[in-house]
Amino acid sequence: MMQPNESLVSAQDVSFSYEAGGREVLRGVSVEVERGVFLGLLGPNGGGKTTLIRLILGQIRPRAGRVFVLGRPAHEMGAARLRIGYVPQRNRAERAFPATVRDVVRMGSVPQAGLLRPLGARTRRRAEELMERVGIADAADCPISEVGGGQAQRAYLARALMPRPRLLLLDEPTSGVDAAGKQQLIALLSELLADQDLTILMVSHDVGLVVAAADRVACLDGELHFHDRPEHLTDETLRRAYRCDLAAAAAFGHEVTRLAGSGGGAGRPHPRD
Amino acid sequence: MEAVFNPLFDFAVSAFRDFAAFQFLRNALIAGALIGFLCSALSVLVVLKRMAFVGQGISHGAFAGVALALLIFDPAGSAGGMNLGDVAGGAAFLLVTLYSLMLAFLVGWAVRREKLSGDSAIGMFFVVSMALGVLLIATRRAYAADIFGILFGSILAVTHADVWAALGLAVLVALVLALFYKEIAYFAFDEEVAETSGLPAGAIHYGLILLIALAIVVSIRVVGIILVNAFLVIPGLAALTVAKRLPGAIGLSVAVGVGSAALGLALANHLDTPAGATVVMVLFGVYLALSLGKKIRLARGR
Repeated sequence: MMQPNESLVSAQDVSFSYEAGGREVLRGVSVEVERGVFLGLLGPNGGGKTTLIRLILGQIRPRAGRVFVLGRPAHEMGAARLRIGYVPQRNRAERAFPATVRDVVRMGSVPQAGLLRPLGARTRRRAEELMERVGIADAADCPISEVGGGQAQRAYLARALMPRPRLLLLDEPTSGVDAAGKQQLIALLSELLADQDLTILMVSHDVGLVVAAADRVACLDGELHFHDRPEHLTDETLRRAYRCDLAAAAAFGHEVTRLAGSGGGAGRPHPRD
Repeated sequence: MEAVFNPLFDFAVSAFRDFAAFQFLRNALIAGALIGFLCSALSVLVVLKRMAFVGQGISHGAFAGVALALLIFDPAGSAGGMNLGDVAGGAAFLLVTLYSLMLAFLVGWAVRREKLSGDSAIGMFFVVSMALGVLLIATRRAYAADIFGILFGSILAVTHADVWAALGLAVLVALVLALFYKEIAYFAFDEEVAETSGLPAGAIHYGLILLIALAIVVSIRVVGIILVNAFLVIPGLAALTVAKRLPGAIGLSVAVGVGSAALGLALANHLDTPAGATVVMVLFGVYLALSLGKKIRLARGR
């Protein structure tokens, strides 16, 4: 039984390069994600955010250091994989596929259901509930190839939530989504965190979104620059993390100066408080 | 009106008459329909997962395997190209099967590990295997006939063994698709997430390749390389133009495959054209009809 503050994800001094002897995408990165925490991972392109996700998913193995997920080595998860929900960046899946939104959501239960067993009535009900919850119930019968990108993303989120995962990994969930959609996503994630034993790791370019939604923020640019509550995130850190100046950072669509010491944080009580 | 319908009626009547009269035609129909079923059932997945290269690579690889078998078991060329079974029985068939499976897994492994892209795999295996096969056969007396036979099969000389093998594999494919449908569907739609969620994607990938390879080996004697590849790709493409969901797509693909096999055989018999090539043209015709139908519906607005 996991303790309340045990780490669901533990990366220990991890280094990685895609080619032997090539540029190190991650250099000695150590990060823990505690149970019940919503961690937002910021960083520039090429900074290693997606690489870290892939390490956590066990798709690749570190050149140095270790990655543990749910207490196990990331590449040896076995049945514990069922406890991880993953929503990749958009357009990864084969959208030109003969399936409805409902078919896609129900797929989330397939690994759990076991071979030779059909998906039961309980699974079907859960799919309907989740579609309702993420707001795509109206599109349930639409072909997945014909719904908008934002709706498809929500379908993938519902799919990831089907087996009641302990850990949810989101990679750029709001690329191409409008402000209202982002608000809805934040609200939904907050609800989920309150309802169930869920830990979230979200990778995003959207500084405003991360600051508004997450309990903890980490800035990754090859190395970990920051890992603390969002209200402690300073312009200086952001600048170092993005290697850009304030004016360019403001182009992200929020007021960077607001970050130092004033709002931020989702306003939820943290387990440690 | 009579000018259009009378030839059609004549065709239908003479087709029934010929098929009723001639056992070899019935056998050809049964074998063709079974092979059509078998390959068309896999066709939707082949198209969705872009595994057409697997069919190409394996079938053209099998060309070399068959040539090798011919050389080993019938170097004097006394048996006609594909009728190896008469001369060397199970041994020859086994050799071709093993060779093709080995090649299939090699190609499948290379693509999964991203060492080779699908196109390169086709380019390389197609060309090299064909050349190897031609070199091996060149010493035989019935050189040209052998090659023609391997490329186009000899559906009109199909044996009972061929039919039983096709039936057995058709049942296996149907069972696998029915029993493991939900796993296969998830794998086909989003392999990456399916795998990270705990699905044995590697097993499914190689399992599919195994089925495709077996389908090719069983079919190649009867319908030849060209038609095998046609059945592995065209029915799936045709079905995907109109089907909204996967089970329907597979069902439609099978209907297209079996229907085209039957119609193609009947036409070939009536018009006295080569059977395999005629079936390919019918398959293509069905695909065109479905595509065109869809475009017209879209233009009108449903």
